[in-house]
Amino acid sequence: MTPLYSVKECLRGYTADALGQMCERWNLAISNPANRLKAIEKVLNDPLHVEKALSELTPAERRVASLLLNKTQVPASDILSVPGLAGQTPISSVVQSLATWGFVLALPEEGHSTFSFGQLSRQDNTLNGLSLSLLDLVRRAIQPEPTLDFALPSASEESPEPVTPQDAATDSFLETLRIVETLGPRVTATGEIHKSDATRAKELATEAGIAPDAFALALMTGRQLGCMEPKAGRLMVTQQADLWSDQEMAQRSRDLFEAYIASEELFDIHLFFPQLVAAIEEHLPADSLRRTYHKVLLARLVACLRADTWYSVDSFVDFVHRADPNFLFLEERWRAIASNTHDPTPAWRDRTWQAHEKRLIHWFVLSVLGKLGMVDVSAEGRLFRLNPVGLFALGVGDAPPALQQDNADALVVQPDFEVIAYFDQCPPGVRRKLDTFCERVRGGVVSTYRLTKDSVYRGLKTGVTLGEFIGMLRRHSRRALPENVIDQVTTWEKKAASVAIYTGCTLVECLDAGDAAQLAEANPDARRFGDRFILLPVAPEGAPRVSYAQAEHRCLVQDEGLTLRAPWEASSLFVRRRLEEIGKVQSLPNGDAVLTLSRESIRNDVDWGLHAAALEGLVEKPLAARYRTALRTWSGDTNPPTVHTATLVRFDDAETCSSVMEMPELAKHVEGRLGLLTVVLKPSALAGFKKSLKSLGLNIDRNGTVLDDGSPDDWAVQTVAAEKKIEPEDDTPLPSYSPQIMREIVHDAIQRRRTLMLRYQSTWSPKPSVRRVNPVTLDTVGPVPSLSGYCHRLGGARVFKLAQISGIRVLEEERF
Amino acid sequence: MAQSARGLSFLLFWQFGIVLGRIIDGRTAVCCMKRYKVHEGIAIIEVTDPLILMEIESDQGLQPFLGDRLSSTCIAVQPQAIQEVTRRLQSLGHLPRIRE
Repeated sequence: MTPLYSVKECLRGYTADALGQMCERWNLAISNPANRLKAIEKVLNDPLHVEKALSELTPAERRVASLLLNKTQVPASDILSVPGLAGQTPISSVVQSLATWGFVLALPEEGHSTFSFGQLSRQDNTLNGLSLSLLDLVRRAIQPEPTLDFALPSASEESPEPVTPQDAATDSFLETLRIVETLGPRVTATGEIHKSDATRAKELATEAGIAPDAFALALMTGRQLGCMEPKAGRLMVTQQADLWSDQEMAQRSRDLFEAYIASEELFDIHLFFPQLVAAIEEHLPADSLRRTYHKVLLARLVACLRADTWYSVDSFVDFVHRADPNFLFLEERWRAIASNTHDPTPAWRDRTWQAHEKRLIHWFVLSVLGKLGMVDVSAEGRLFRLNPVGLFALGVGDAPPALQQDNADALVVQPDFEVIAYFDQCPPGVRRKLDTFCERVRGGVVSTYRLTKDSVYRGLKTGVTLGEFIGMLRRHSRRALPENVIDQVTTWEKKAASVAIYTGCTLVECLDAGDAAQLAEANPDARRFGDRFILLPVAPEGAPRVSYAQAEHRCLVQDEGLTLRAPWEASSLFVRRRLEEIGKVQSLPNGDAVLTLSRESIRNDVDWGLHAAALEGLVEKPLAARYRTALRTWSGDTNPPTVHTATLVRFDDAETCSSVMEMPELAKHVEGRLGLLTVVLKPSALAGFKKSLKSLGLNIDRNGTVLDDGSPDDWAVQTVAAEKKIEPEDDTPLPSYSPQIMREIVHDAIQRRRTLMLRYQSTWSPKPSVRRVNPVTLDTVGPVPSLSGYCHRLGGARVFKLAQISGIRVLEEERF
Repeated sequence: MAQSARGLSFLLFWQFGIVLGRIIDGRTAVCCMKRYKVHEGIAIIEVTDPLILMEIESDQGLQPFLGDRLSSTCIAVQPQAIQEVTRRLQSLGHLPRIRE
């Protein structure tokens, strides 16, 4: 992950007090503020110092630092809004401590002034726009985060008889995959499933015996895991689903659980807070820590529990309340208003916690963890305990030993192409393959499938070969497979293999068959296609190459007259066909293809513009006007030229002429522009034009002399090049500081003769632009503090007002 | 003196002959090199039956993506259009296998 700003750029935005505190933390006895910055920068760029200091971090600090690991930058307000993840220590003090070490840096972004550590503890408006980033060296060297430091007392009751954990989540996930595969639901532009398809999918899920919440959960985790992806406007099952189903139970549960935690879809909020969901969603921006906080916190708290110890679900709810009662915005005003509607007493907080949060946590423990087989649940559902699968899924334990999954009695294949599957004995991988290669006729514990041509084709598309599928049937079948089934399925496979597409080929084309035969003899690995083509694993050196990395391949040479030639060495395998679409193509003995445009040879049923566009896509240099004119004339699309008498007004420079065209009161008199310096006026518009010009302080003189500027090649090129030099807007992120710090940076750059990169808002431009400037003088005495220097973008000396500079970076490697 | 001058001129003529020979050899090599070219990263459709290729070539939806025929069962296809070609072939009832 590349940091947006260097350490020095970040530290420049710190107050002198903040730098002093950092020096104190690192035991650096330096009093000069400029030297402090240099010293801290040196320490923070030294891996040895950083690694030593990292070993002294408290568990809470390591936990908070880990939150920033996978993000380039995080808003300070976001990180302070997840206090439960720091543990029992207040998160603001932990972030402040990390910032004092310099492991978390405040970024110098626009709209934020100087940074002091006190801002982190105040948590007021000063945090607006402040973003934090983890030091790059810390990112590489930090150790895994420890579990939270909360402890939950075990249930005082006697240990109950556990209900054997069912792998119910795997069942519902496999069913969801099958429904998606069969239905192929349409996906809207926002990524949601089309309403009518969603209704149909829910019906199918109900028929298959899956609860609506389990189905929605499976859809959410499936998309997060990459087992389902929108493709060509439809949700499709990917090969990742097969890989997932072939894994051990513990790994499958872990994948599903991690996908549930990481998913930014707010399915559970929709389920438990249907009335508040809009308000909650507004406070959970995408890609923020707060978005998944409620799930991450619950997972981390479960990871604090001891294995093989029974806990009451109610006590776990209180445990969450102790860790962070506001884990779902209980303290927000809109929540108070919504809950206070019928009850004005302050007891609303406790009431809503019991009504909503408690239900959500119960559902998490019993329906998510329980159905994933991560916890054992007592028969009446009041107690639970973490099992080895749960420990592994939470990342605090090793994987439990794998169970033997090869069951030879799971399937029966009948001669009428029916496959009977006993789901209680079927491993998920077998079930998944049956779902892809067969059509399900009847569901249930004993399900019936049917092998058809279409279902076999569908299965082959997933990348699993027929050999693998038949091998799987043989391994799990009670009886030998019927011969007629194997024969028929093999016939279908052969038919399916009738078309193959080879991509990324290295194909050698020879000028004649004799050369191809010689080359094929010299290369034993070569495969010959037709007379002149040979497929080789490695391209021979020294031969001309035609690359197909780009769709567009320009090779057409514009010969004299109306002839276009495709040289054999450079032409691709698509050029001839494209030329034949325009007209008759001749082949020369040297292999070149020649298209001569003539009225007779051109296909007249196609619009001339399409022919011209096709040629423009093939020619090496811009298509000469003569080709377009000829095509247009033959199509009868040209009008005869006309003669006009007009008044021309010529200006001294191109800029004035451009300004005239831009001003509405002048432009309304103008017919058009002739070259860079001259405008053509509308009939009898001279008087009005003169008057408008005069109001701007310009008078028109009559001049009858013949003007000759010479060839446009001599004068137009420079002007056009000068105009083109103005580059488009640049989004390069540049650090932003207060005017005082900005002044210091400019002064330092002038002293050391370093080039600056500025984001400057010019008075004449609607948007700021990024430019490289060689600073020469800094004027802080005049009415407007400004910087004078050479602007590389405009190629001349310019004055930049300091107040208009919104971003600055010293290019240390560029001297002038 | 005259003999040594003659010997020197013979030596020079001989060396010139060697250099000229090398130049001619080089040009011949260059000419030979141009007798074949390499199409890098091209995609190819191969079918088991020439009739299938005729069906593919006559399909309006596939024509924009097709190039020259390589043999009676092979045709060049735009590498950037593999997805569109696959989809179209599937709609024609084929099951194209994509191989690297």
